[in-house]
Amino acid sequence: MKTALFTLLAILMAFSGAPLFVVISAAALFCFYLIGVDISIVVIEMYRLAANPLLIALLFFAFAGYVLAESGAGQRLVKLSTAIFGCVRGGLAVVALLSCAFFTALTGASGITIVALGGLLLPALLKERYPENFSLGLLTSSGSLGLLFPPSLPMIIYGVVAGVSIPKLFLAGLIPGIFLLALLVGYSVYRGVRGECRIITFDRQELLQTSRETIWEILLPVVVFGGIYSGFLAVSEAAVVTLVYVLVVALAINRDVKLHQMPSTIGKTVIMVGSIIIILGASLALNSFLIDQQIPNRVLLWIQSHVHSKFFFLIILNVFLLLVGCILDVYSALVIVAPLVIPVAQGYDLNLLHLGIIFLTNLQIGYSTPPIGMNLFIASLRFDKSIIRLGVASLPFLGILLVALLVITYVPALSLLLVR
Amino acid sequence: MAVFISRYVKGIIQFFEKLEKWLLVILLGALVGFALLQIILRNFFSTGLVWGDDLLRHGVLWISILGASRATLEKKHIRIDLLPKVLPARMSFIADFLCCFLSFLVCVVLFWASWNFVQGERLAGHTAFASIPYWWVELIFPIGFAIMALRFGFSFVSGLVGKPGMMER
Repeated sequence: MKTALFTLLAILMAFSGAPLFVVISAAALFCFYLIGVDISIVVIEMYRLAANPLLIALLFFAFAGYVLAESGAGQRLVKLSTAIFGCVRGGLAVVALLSCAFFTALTGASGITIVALGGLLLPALLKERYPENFSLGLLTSSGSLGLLFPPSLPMIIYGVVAGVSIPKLFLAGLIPGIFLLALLVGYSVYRGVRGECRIITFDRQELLQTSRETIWEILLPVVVFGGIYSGFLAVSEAAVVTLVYVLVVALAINRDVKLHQMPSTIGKTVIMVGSIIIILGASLALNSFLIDQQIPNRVLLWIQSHVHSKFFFLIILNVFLLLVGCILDVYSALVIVAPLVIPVAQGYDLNLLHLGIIFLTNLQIGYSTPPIGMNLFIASLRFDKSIIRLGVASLPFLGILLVALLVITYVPALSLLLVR
Repeated sequence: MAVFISRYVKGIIQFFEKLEKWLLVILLGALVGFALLQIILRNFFSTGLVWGDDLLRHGVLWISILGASRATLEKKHIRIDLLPKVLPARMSFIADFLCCFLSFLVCVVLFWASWNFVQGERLAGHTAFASIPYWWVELIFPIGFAIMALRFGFSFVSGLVGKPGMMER
């Protein structure tokens, strides 16, 4: 009775907009209190946060992302890819997809892409006579496109929760990410060709000049991966090097970010990282209770008694994750749901790296689905269009993403090819 | 008198918010510098501070908790605000108000729990990096939860006089 009442209250609180870390902490406190354990255990479990070196990487990558977002990197990327792809039919749509994916990977899918690039790309697309709905849908669903590309912050969070190697996870995301992008590129080129959108004449001079301007951003992936895969740097150290590189480029070389902007940039970074990590801490506490009570095992047994094949389990998993993605943002979804799903998935002999890619693909789709898809809200603010209209405009793109999801789910080789 | 006190309190709060902001800037800056130093020492001089990694991880913990308290101030915590979007304005105001109150209560309990935790650690007397006692670095928990409790409390009180609490400012 007490438990039922509490659960009801907690759910009600969560849906009325109480911070998730409060709801999860309350649940953890209540559970431990109920079994008669000193509630200080909740804080002791939270303190495990200080044992994880990956959170250093999370903080520094996030900071680097915010600095990049403040700098003119987005504009330069768009200019460069326009110079490369603008001359083919559908090229500008490809530009939008590629620069969004690249930018999101670096800035961590927190809606910055739509804010930073959307305002730039929408008028450009419309000017070249791409249909308005197509352009809106493209930009709305591109806001989370780079999730599978390193150093995406959600990937790091999954690595923290699942305890898998981050360099391997980064590799696992590469082919599925490219595959997903290729499907969208194919569709966009098709629409561009059919719609007889205009093209830009190829200008060698322009290409050379924009490449020169963008050289520091082009070298960025080398900085991020060079250290990790040459074995010189741990992930957290690579994050430090990336951050220092980005800071030097933005403050000293390109000078498009000023020193006096730093306090506010740091403020944004710290708020984002803090609000993610505090949820992580709270769910460390709740999960240690759940594991102590063998809840994941019981869930596994219950599901195994109903679902016998891996094939069928994967369908249920995807539907479940899509629903989760509709309600929760990617970070809280990973932190809250992944610890429960992981033991179950292991019961079905699912590779944890593959599971991570399935997770991220699902949650990426959730970004653009109602009722609280973050992309929809941010795009609605940015483009001044109703959420319903944007939802409808993104439907074809969601369809493509769902097809990609099916392939990624049922062809594990896509995720595991580079890892083995 | 009342005006004087309220101005006085406001001044203290503003001072604290500024202090908090600069503390975060300095902390993050120092952390970046220290992390870079560690990498340089390790890769070029094959040396490094043994407790360096421990210090970095605790630095991130401090930043995270201070960041979470800052998020409380700026109403930027991650949440599912489904009901306030569909409920009529009056109802969602009440829901918001109750959320502030319950969040305040939970943070008070967390403060109490972390205070006990730190007390226990103080008696155990282990030392962390650079012979700093562990309980010093763990103090961030009660400090952070106290700030968050106060801020949720403020939101609740300003809800009493009819201002929105949890929603974006």
